[in-house]
Amino acid sequence: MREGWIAVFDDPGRARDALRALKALGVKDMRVASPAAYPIVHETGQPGPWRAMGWLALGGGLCGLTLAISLEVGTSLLHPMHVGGQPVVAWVQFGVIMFELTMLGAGLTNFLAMVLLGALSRRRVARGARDAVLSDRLAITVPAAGHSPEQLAAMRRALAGALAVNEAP
Amino acid sequence: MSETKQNQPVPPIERDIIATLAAPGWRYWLALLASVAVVAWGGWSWSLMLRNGMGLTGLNAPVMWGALITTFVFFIGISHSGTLVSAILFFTRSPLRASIGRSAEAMTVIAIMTAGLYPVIHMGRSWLAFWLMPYPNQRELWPNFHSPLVWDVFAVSSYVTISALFVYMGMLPDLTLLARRIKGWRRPLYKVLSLGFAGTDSEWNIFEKAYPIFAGIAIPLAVSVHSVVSWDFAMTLMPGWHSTIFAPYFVAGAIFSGLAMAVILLAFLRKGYKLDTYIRLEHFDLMAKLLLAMSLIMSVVYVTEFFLAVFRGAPAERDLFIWRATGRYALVYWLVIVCNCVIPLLTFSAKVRRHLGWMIFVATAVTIGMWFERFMFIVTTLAHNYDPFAWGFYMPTLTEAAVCFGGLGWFAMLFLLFIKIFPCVSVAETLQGEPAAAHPELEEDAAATSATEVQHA
Repeated sequence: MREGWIAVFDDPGRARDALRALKALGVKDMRVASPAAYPIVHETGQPGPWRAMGWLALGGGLCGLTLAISLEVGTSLLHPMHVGGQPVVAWVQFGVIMFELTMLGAGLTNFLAMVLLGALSRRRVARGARDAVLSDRLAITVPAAGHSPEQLAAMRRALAGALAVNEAP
Repeated sequence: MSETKQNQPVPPIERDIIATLAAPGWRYWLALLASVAVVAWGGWSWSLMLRNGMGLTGLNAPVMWGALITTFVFFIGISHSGTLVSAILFFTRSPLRASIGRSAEAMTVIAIMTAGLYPVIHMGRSWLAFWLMPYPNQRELWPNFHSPLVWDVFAVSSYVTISALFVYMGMLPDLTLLARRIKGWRRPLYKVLSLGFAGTDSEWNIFEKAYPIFAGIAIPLAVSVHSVVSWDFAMTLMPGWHSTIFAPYFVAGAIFSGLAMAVILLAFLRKGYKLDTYIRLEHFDLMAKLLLAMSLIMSVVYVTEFFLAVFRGAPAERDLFIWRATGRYALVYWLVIVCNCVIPLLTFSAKVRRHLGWMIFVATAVTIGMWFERFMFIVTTLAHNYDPFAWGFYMPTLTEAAVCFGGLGWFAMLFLLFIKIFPCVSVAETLQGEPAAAHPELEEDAAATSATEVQHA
């Protein structure tokens, strides 16, 4: 954010009121940094990569499944052995490891995706806002460029409940 | 406009959690020292087994599985409850989760790390444990993927990985917050471990999308790992083991023993760290009700097993079950019945459910009962098999007992270290619950948001 404000709040309710007031004034592209998943974090309306999470986990799960099938079928065919009257490639018996590795693949991918997408997306929020977060502090970044003086004054009034409003670097 | 005030008082939850991480008192050191001493005793005994062989155990033909495998199954059971209960509480949006979820999840990871030691110890030649792993090798050998024992390796490995990531993932927001307040060596540690999590709206949205997926993965995985352990037994044709009821019976038993252990740990956590505000008596009340429900389920299972064995018309099975109740292991059998079916009935009383001392008594009885339950069904089946000529008797030696107690010490030691290094109650989740109480309209918003997310998902 090249020009704007970072409003720091000590109460998620007041922060949410301010965000809603700013939205009513037509301010867009606001971002929130918060110590907990308060409802306000869902109100900025920022699109993001998180919609892909389920698909990424599914992809990871399918990779795990493929690994399990390759491992079980491949090694069984490499050294064919009949055990307990079962066929060499025993799909029912192989099902357990297929399930386990599918779940493992999905879980690992989900975790990695969360870490990587989180790292990529957090850069779009001003550092000052990110650094302001404490267990009793949350911050809203407000873009101030391109607004008339009257609008800016109204926006300032909307942020009256803030503990502090700093200029964003 | 003014700058943010830097000298604001720390919110109670953060203050209390930071207090748990402060320099420990003599009780903590005593507990840690005791657990380290037990680990050292167990470690020494294991080293004796490594040097002199498995002859130091009481294992014999036909009882090839004894106290070591019993302890493995027991700790797998303990591990079961934490992640499973935490994930279920997450999906039901229970406020209980913020208080007990972290400790329960940590208990899972530590218990499964403990459980994993025992098959390796039981092997005797523990240094060859890596043969279980599937990798191309000069021996041109692969694990037998048809075998439930190999399924176990995969199930336990997957479960420990997912459980560890589950507890770590839930801790990321707390590590970020605490790194900004706490001083000393934990600050750089928390900074690194928080992976840069900053609490931005997009991060929270990603987190809230990823976390249910993780919880959704953890639940079936938790059920599968104990089912697979039960199949180690049920896939054989042995009397007392070869039963379709075994997987759900194991899962129920695992939840039962895991809950009991969670009650014990949380009671000491509450008392030791004065966390009465977060780990409340109503939480114990809820856990006691769940414990009672599981006890009743276990009682039904015991009766069903006995009834089927006696009336099915399979002589070996009938004889085995009667022998369990009247033979050389009768003391173990009745101890199991008293600990798992009779003592938990005390929790019908609300006074017991809300009294820490009574709850610790009941939970300890269940924990002891569940270890002996595993011992009973493993050992009696092997000792009283189809062929009377091959019947035998097994009693663990002192060396074996030391190795088993060592596991308990190891479990206690790791848990004590965990609660001293990491926050034992979720700060972010507690914060999330607090404004809802102060601002009811936010709670409605949260409920509406959750409903939208569920629909979206």
